[in-house]
Amino acid sequence: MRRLPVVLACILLAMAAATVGAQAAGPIPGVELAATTATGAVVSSAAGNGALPQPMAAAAFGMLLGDRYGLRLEAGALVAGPSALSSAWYRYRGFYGVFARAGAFVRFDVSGIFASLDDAREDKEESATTLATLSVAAGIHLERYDNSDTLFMHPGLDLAVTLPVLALGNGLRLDAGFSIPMLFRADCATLGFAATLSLAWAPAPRTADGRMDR
Amino acid sequence: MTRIAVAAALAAALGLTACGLPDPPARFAFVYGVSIYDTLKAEGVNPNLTLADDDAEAMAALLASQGWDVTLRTDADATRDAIEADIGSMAGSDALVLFYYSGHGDEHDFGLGEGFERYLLPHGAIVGYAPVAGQAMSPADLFGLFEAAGLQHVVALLDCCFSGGFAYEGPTVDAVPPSFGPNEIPDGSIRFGRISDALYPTITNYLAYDSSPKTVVITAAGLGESSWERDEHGLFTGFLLESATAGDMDGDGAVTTGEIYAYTSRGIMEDWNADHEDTWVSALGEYADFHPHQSGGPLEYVIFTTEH
Repeated sequence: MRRLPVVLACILLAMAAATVGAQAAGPIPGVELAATTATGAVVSSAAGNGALPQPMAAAAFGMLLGDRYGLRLEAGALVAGPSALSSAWYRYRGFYGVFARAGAFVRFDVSGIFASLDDAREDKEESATTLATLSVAAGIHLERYDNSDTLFMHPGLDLAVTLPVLALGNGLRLDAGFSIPMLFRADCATLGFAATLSLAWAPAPRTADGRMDR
Repeated sequence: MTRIAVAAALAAALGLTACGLPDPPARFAFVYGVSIYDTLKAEGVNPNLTLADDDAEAMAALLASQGWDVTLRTDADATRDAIEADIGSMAGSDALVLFYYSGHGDEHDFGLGEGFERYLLPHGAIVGYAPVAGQAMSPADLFGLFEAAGLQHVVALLDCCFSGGFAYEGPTVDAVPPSFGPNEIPDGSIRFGRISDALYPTITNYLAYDSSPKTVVITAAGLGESSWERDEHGLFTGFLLESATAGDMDGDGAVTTGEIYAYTSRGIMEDWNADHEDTWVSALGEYADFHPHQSGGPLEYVIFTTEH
């Protein structure tokens, strides 16, 4: 039961973030749906063995509820290839599986830093602000090792930052950014970095008092 | 700058995982095969087996051709004392060690407080038709040997009945039941066709996990079933030998323990189980189909290379 605190911490983080996010989102929150891909690498390390990088990719569907801050919900699939070989001829096994997570996000103005990206904003004539989205979500992963009939579960944490890079019209927008996945496996620690690309869609613009503008 | 950093990270990750095989580490293989338990009887006459010594000899030859430093012991030379001395001789080594065993396995309660356990039965571990306490080797005995010698990198390949008792799950769940086969009661078909069905048992094992042996283990059969032999070798060993040339599934020139598990499992499923899942063996009280098992740790090792 030594891993119970990790599970409880992730559950509490997800619940707390979701609660805060839901309250911040208000009774009729803004809704944004997104399909996200992530490619990058994780570094795995088991006790007594060295750390080795594994390529990883993930795809997820999710939603953000709220305007400047709110609730992040997401589900998807993750694939990690086997690591490079160590000098002792071992490597970390590849695995693949699904995940679901909940958390919170906050948007903040980064216009001054990323001024060049303003050209991509759909509403640039109304406002010169560029909003970056910082989010964190905790959840559960269910995985299977490559070349095996072996399944395992672990909690996970994902920290992500995205920026709008291209407005496609009709509420569609392309975001780019990065994420830092942390996989709390029972017998192996895994931390990564991935570049993300999201196709985001805000169903309808909202009025200043929070009503949906139909 | 951000884009450059991301591109550099991706390139580094892909580059590091795409490297060829590093130079081989020191590799020692200890290969045991026991067909003769009762020296007064011929091969194949109960309790003697027929092909276990042949399995070991073929495995030793293959490993030697792959550059392993091989110690081979068969029949009367393959005793528990010899195994303990061999592993003990590696004390303090950081080499990659392969332990291979072909022979009898058993499930037994010696009444010593250990309960019902699975055992390897080296030569001397069967008297008459019964296993002998102190000569039979349990998972705790075997893993304890490796641990006492301070070995960091060990792979165990076990071709014997009930060997699944050595394939610990750790924090994972093995979807292959202990007694494999659709006719077994309870149903021995591979579980968790829907991955979501595995959620509860995987959570349970995650929470219960404390530690597990470092040894990567592949076994011929489950902890509740027999393994079988045919033609020149045990079925598992036959496909294990084949895997050295045909088991490199990702084409990287290395055959890992994971690939060996996948290759031997597929071979046994297609070449044996397809014809034997309905074969009831009344003497053993089980159907003749069986399935390999693999331990649940995060590592896998290279055992064979396709270019050597």
